[in-house]
Amino acid sequence: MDFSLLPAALWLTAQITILSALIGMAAGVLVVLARRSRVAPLRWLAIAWTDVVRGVPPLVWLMLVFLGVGVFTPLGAAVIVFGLVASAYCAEIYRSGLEGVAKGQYEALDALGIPTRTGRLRVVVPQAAVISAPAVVSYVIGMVKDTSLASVIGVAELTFVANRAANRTGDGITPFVTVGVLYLLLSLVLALVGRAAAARAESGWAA
Amino acid sequence: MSLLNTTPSPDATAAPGGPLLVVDSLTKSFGDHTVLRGVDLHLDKGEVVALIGPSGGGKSTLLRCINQLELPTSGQVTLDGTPLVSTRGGAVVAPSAKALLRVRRQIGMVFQSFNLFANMTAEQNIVFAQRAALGTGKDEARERARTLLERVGMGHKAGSHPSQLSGGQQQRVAIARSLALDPRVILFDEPTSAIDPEMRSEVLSVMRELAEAGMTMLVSTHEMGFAKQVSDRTVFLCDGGILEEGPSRSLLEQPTHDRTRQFLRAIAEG
Repeated sequence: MDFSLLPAALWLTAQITILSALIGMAAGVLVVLARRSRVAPLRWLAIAWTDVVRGVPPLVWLMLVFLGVGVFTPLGAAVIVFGLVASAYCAEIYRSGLEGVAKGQYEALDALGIPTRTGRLRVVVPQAAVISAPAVVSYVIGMVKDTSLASVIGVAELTFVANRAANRTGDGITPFVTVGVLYLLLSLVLALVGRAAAARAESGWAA
Repeated sequence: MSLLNTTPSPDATAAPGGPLLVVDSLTKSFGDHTVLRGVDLHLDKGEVVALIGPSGGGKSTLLRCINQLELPTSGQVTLDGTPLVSTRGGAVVAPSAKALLRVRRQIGMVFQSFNLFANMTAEQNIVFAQRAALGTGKDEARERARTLLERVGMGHKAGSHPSQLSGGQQQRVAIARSLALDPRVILFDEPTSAIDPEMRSEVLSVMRELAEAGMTMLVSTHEMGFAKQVSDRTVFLCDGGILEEGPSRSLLEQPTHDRTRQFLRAIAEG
């Protein structure tokens, strides 16, 4: 197999992961805000979004957005689809993070006469973020592997390159073992980063 | 020595000797379950009142209705002549957010479970409370936080997070945080119940100093020693009503009611 193609492919895989994760984490905030909104239709919309997005396989979304909508490049379609799918999962993770903040914290904010918005921003959200972080990290690690689906719509990421090499050379072992190891390394790096971040947060206050 | 800022707040213009806090016919029901059935209570300025009684008797709910963490079902609470409970046509209504903030900034509350903000250090807890609730400037808030931490004996732990502190230490920081807002009265909801017995005295002695400095305090407690030695008056709350009240020493040593006697005996037997 032509190993010179691997750096570019690895970079594409990393790009899809990073961009989708950023979109998902940011859009997840909007979804969870809607989910907890006082406006009922917004809540319904958020519930519908999480259920529908999570209930359909990512590959189907990928086909639908790339072939169905038809205005995106393969990379663009992949980033959008994985980002939007991530938004639904992240919203659920944030929601349970918010529910994990002790009731007493809200009571203390109320009893001290601290305005709701200030209290949410400075006390509730930082705690919910630390509670949510491990679940977000493990979701993103899962997403690294999901990005291989983008090969189906022609994004020249790791799996795509391995598949083409296997078809050309008839050797199915070398290319897939190679990219398998690369996926593993990517996941391990993410897991280490996640663990280091968690340890740092816990050394402060999440203990 | 003094834990209090002795400069009187500009609105401290109550009629001399008049009660500072008045609870009038307060009731509270959760659905069909009535927790408070018409409680009348008053605290003079500088008075320390101990609230005793069996668990589930309504002590906590009474305190929470006073600062409106719970909305009373009926009745009124007045602080320095100003009614705190919003009513419309005689019925209690949910107060505006603004009115609530105003009420709560004047009434401090110390919780059984401390409730320090877990993501902040001891000092940050106190600085944040002042800045967020009163809009105090950063330097002033920090200086006051340091002073208060010193006074509750926690100056050396200013940079520690709550998870690194013992229960007694957390509670002392929580008391300092409450004092930082210059409340007119502080409500204590079983402040030592969640603390190891050996650590309780450090909290109780801070409370004793506060009382000596003239802070008005309503303290729900199972610490009969504290009630007897520190509080001016003791109120026995049972089944949602005040069964008996009087000067602490006489009520605790010679209760008139059988129910009070039975309760005190049970406490003494531990």
